Amino acid sequence: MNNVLTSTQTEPDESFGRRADSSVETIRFGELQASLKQDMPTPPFRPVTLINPQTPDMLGLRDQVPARDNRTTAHFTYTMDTHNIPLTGRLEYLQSVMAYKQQFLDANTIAVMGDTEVIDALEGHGLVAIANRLKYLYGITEEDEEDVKLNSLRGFAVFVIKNRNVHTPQITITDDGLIQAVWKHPQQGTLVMDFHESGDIAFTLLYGRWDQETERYKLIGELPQDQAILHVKDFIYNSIRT
Amino acid sequence: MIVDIDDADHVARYCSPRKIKEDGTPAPGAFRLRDCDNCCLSVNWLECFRGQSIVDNILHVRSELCQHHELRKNGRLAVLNVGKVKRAIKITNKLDINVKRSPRNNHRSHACIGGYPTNNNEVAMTLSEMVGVDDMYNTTS
Repeated sequence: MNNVLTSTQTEPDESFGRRADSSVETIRFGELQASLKQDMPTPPFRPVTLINPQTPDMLGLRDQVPARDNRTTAHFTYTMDTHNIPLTGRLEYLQSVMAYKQQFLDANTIAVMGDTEVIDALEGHGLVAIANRLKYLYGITEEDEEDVKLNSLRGFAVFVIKNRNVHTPQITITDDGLIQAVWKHPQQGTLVMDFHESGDIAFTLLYGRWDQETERYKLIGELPQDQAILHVKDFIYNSIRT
Repeated sequence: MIVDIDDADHVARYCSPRKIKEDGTPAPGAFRLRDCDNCCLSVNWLECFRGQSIVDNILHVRSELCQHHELRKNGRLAVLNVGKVKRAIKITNKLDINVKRSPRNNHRSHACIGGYPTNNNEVAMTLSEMVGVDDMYNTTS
């Protein structure tokens, strides 16, 4: 039992409140950990029934708890450690994670959502700061600025869900209604991404600290998301918010 | 009459709340030229009002802008020094931009920044990075 968690094989929604019993299949913690590291959304946390109040220590799992350098796994660790969640609760939590992952990691699902649904999905994904910022921006209308383009929002949502381990960008809206995300690093430079309705990203990266006297290296392009991220990956994964 | 604004002078750009980042500074989108802008960015020349300070001049700009544009209370006026703008864009973007007076009816402080491409973030990024939080002024008292 040292590095094994168990999970019932019922549908996620039916499994809530169900006690782990003999009709179980094992999930190795290492597999779970690997799964958590792959584009894992933060799931909605549901209240659990205290049936089997054992801590990770009692299960010998504390050493298996993932490191805190990953936002998703850190959340998982926090949940297990702090809330002292019982075994049954953990199983339900994991099933909830899996169900949520299946529901929202698919870009095709987001592609048919309305703007409110997209923002709710981001919030449900644990991207609360981004969702709140978008709600604020949606509440502003300017006479000479276009409404936020739905496809731009969808593209941005897909991007932040797929790349949820990058630092949260600062989000604004352009005159023509496109989502504009800015990552700024005091020494390394600034990256701006405009999320076009076509699904492409127009990106401009100015390397190096800004000052009036120094020329900066530039990287400029407009590419589909998956290709655009390859060009700016190093910067975006290391940038910090200022 | 359209004349260049002196390098020592300042211009202010109204930034709508949608174009202000959470850190209080303007996003590049606040300085991007649109095709419909006749290839120039509308700004206001502060020294036009001959106030004692930038704050004094901002008060005049606000009252003048209010007559033409709805200023959001959570919008801001970003102030830029003309000479610094020209020099920074010359070095960073290899462009000679111009900052000219362009007075209109009841809008005598109106000015234009021109000489850079439309729908392009490169120059807009340089301009936005020149503006710190201290250079952002309220649109209301």
